Amino acid sequence: MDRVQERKKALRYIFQEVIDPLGYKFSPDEEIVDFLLEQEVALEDKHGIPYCPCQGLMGNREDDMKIVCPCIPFHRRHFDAIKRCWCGLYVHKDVSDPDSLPQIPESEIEGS
Amino acid sequence: MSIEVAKLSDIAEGGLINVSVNGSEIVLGRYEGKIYAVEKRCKHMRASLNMGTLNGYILTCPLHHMQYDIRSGIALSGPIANVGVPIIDIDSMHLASFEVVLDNGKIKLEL
Repeated sequence: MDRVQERKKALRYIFQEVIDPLGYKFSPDEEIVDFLLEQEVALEDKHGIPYCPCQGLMGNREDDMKIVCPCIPFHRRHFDAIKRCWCGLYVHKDVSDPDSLPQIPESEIEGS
Repeated sequence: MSIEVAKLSDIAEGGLINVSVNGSEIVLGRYEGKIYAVEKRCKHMRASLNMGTLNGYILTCPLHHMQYDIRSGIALSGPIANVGVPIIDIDSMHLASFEVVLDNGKIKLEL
């Protein structure tokens, strides 16, 4: 039995329920999804919480809770503009080619 | 030996109930129409898992949110952090699971 693999499946199950009503889906790129979920399991084992693997912890709870995966609700305007979350774990439901989506920082989004 | 412990109609989809068999405390849960049985006490601090939640096949402890796969008893994640208990070896915290037999609406456990 491989607990990490089982936990990755469980996170996928739990997160699917959250992202679906937000208009997102898991990236069609299975390799990146598998890699990112594995990092989240490692972060959960270390911190007890599956933080975003691509954003740094600030060390205070208020900020850190905003990067608990899926962090889409806390970064909605930014992610909607680039049609993906920062990691690329999630993409808009209408995206079929995730590699075509540029990773643009929020500060460079028009109107920020 | 198979022992009748409840009726299928006793558990709604996503529901959890507690049964006691020969002194053993067991939780029954229903996922996708099937019944699964695991030991009742969370391996972390012995909370009653029948008081937790069943989201799909994921059984969550009500006390510190440790999660298990109810189909196998595998511990999926440890308790949430910052509860005064160090992160522990999750791989040693799986629940015992029991074989369930459905017989004309009766739930029986193979013990």
